[in-house]
Amino acid sequence: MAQERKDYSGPLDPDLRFESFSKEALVNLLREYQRLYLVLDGHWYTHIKAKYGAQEAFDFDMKVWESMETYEPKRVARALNIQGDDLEAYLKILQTIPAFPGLIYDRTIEMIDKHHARIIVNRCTSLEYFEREGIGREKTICHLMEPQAFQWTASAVNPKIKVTPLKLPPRKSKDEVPHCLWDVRWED
Amino acid sequence: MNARRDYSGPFDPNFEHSQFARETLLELLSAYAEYILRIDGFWYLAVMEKWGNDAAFDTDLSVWKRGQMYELKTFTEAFNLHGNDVATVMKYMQVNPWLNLCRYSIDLKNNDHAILTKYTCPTLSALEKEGKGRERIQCGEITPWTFNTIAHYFNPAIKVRPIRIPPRTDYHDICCQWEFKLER
Repeated sequence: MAQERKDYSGPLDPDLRFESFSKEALVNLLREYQRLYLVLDGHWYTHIKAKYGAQEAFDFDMKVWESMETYEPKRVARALNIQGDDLEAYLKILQTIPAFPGLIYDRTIEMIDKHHARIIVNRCTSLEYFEREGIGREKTICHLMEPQAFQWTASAVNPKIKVTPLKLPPRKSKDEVPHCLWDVRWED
Repeated sequence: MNARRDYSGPFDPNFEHSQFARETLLELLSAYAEYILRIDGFWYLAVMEKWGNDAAFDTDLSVWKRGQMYELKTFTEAFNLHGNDVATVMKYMQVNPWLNLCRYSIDLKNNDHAILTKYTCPTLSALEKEGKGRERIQCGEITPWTFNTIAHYFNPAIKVRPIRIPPRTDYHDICCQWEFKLER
């Protein structure tokens, strides 16, 4: 077997296949795909906000993410053979979708039992970006958008799964962790 | 420990992407590339629905003026791509998310001259299905801008020329074909 590529330095291979990259290189690439996904959304938001105002940008963002979060679970479940529509399937999907990017955010998903779980985000780079930006965007994104976004994903798996925020930004200090905390329950 | 082929079976609280087999990572890579394509498309459509195609097109271009530079910087660093010839541009084309979704070929005549041919393209398929003729703008204006921006990031003297671009009359035909050339 040819040696695995750690990157793509060296000459062009006209028949390059991603299979030739090492696992480490592929995971790095997945990380960049996760990042690009969020950055692209951020660019659209920023441009619409500059041109048409914050409310319009927010309304569009909600509409876009409602569509995305309905699509995202199905696609990743197909790619990874995640079957079922219970709370466990939802948590597995959450671990692998780029909208909740595990290769970028530092987060823990705890399954307490078949009907109850916790999502702990210890470090959210999006929140850190909003804090640096300093215009309080975390109040709309984290309080209005994120609860909806979590719920859209959960409902796409099964409407009986309910996601509730237990702790949300703004933070009192930059050392405050977790950045946010969520309760997940299966409600019959 | 054996690499996971998929994520069937019980929830793993210590899940990491690196536990997957290479084939599974590739599958996931395709899914992520689709997400990127879709989120961009959803934004475009949302703006188009409210303010029309001209507004969506203008915003798309503004977004990509920043987005393309981000993507170029990120992927050249991630893949250690350095150079100022057409071969380096083609290497970039091979690793960015967009071409990952297409079936394509690269005919490298020499390091300063290549022909890129796309045989399938999900964007073109969606636009043809939509039937509003938007491929004239997407493929005739946005894609040339994108390909020029990419080529000029590596070398401003590289010329990009469309050989064949949509609209197509035969859906079995290739989607598009481009020449990248550097005259020294």
